[in-house]
Amino acid sequence: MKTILDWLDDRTGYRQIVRGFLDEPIPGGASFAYVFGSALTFALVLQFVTGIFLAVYYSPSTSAAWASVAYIEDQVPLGWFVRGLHHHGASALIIIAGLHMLQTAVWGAYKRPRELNWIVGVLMMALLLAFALTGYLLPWDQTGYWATQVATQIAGATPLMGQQLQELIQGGNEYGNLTLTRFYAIHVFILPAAMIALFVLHLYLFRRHGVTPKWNKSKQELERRQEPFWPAQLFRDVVAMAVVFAVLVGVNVYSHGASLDAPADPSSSFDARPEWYLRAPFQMLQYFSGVMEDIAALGAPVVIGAVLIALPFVDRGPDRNPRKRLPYLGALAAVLGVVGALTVVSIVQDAGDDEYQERLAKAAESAEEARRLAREKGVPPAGGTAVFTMAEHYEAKTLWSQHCESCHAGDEREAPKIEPGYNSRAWIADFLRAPNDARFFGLTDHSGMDPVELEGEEFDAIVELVYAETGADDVDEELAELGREVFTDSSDCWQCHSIDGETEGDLGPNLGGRGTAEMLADFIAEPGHDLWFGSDAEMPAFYDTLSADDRRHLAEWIVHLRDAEPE
Amino acid sequence: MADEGTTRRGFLKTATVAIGGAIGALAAVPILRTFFHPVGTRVVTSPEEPVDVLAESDLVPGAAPRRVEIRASRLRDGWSSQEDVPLGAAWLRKSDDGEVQAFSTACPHLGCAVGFSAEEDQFVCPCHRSGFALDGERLYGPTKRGLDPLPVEVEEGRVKVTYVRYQLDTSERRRA
Repeated sequence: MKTILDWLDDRTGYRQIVRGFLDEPIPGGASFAYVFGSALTFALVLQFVTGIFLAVYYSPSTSAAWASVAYIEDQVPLGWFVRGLHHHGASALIIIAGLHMLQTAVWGAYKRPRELNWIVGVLMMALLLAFALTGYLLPWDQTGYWATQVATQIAGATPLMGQQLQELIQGGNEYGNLTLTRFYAIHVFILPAAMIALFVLHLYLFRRHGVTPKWNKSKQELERRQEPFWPAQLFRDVVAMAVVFAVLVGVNVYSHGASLDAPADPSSSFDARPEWYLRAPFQMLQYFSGVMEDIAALGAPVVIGAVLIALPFVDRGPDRNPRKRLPYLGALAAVLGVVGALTVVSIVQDAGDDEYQERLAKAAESAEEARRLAREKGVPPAGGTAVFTMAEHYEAKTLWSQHCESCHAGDEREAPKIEPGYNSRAWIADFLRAPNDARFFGLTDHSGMDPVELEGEEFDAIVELVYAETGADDVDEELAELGREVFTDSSDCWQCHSIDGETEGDLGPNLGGRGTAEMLADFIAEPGHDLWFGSDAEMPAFYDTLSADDRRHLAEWIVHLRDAEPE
Repeated sequence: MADEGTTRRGFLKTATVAIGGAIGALAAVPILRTFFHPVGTRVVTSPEEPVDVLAESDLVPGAAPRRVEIRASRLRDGWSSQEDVPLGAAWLRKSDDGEVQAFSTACPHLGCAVGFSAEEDQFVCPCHRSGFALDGERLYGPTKRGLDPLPVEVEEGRVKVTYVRYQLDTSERRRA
């Protein structure tokens, strides 16, 4: 082993590089105060790794994006966990980067000669937000779609070149495939490349000027307690990484990963909310309108960025003691305070908004249904919202609302009510007791049937006989057989009805096969067939209006209603 | 004192490597689990059912084989679910005694689409020049077995073929 490493060192000189990294002197000795940069590096690496493995499954197109993310969430083992790490990892980065910047500001570490590294850091923070903004859209779910619309709309308000800028960012006049491919390329190629470049620069500048010790340490003390980066500082760094990782995993498991809403639906109305770290600018917009809104939306980030970049050039005294730099730190605290207050107000406002909470609950239901369908049945090629067409009896329900509902449902109906439980035993019993009730034939001219006045087992037997004709699989055959005897021998049923499915029903419909999918499909085609209502039929024939497939879909759905729970 | 410092440094080194390694190992578990998900998972599936391809009367004993496309009524592919998707193709022929035969066009060597040469009156793979007789038997070339027959049935004058995918480049025929 040693020989191989010796050979490798001889050819590459790697030992010197590694030693250069590990033996970096830390003036004043290792400290947990210095762990933020390493913790950030760790969180960033975690984002890179989880991002790469998400890209193994993700497909950036309007038809596949949501479906592929739903696949990661619900079908790839631990896919939810990896996506959750990536999602919460972004929050972790923002938090740690915020602490890192805050510490740098309080310690006055941006002062000469480290001004440039502060600026690089500010730019890296801006990149983090760009990552967050582009990544938010990629699942192409409701939240991502609507929230990102707001951001690109704001870009469109830029003076002089707003429209061009907006079209450049969103890849055309509207959101579509080009928006996704563009955001994807920016998120996974352009921003990471920029981030790596700035990271290298940041690290280089950091090594050039070394760590900034606490302001109150004397030079002698710093020199006396100086120790190398490895192992004392790296140990503290690794402990910090472990804490970050543990918290991330904990939050991830607790929240069961990241949320995924229903697929983006431009025709819906949806309450767009950004991630928590962009709540402040979101909330700010509520207080402005008209031109002021654009000025605030575009101006605030520019002003904050400019103030941050200017900080080391304004706060230039040699003293790093925060007590002597109160005006600058006070200004910074004020900005942070406003951002924090806006964030809290926004979240509290939502929490207290019952209507919003209701819409949120509805959206969650819709998301759950979409994901169930995607998991069980897959997403059709049209993608996105087309997943809802995979719902059980989807065609039937659509046909129902177009052709049937106006007569068979609601208070203004003109025909028997068709609802869950239709043709169940209970429904048949109710019908036989009161066929001319408004629930049944009361609203029609088919009101010639007398209520059945049988009692006890004989009545149950007739119910079972009618029920047996529906083809249900839980028929009590003996009871149905008894019903057949009652039908012909001890009741008047037979005087109007046949039950063989062949004899024309002169006075009442033939009950043979009544309630089966076959019979219902035929009935929908031609209710006036001689088997049923003949020339007296009030219901129109759908022979021409609906295809055989359509009639079959409807019939199967009506069969399904028999055992369905009332909604 | 020197000893104490050395021990402390040694402990820190061990602990650093241990903690760092533990983080890496723990993070690797979910990541690799997701990455290896497709191994052994049937990610692409379609109902294995007879597909109506043509009328029996279109096949004449002794005539050149006919190439037909076999389409799945539904294909689940990862997250998507599509209707009427091409699965593959088959060569159909009727032997002299009237039996309908179907062969997958996938060459059992490495999966290229086998063609029919009217000149040579045999199936020939355009990639690596394997040749097959009209009844599918291997004639020459690198292939280790003959063309893969597909289950075929004739029902009410219609020819129905069930598409099956086999492992390639083996002398025995095993389902893929």
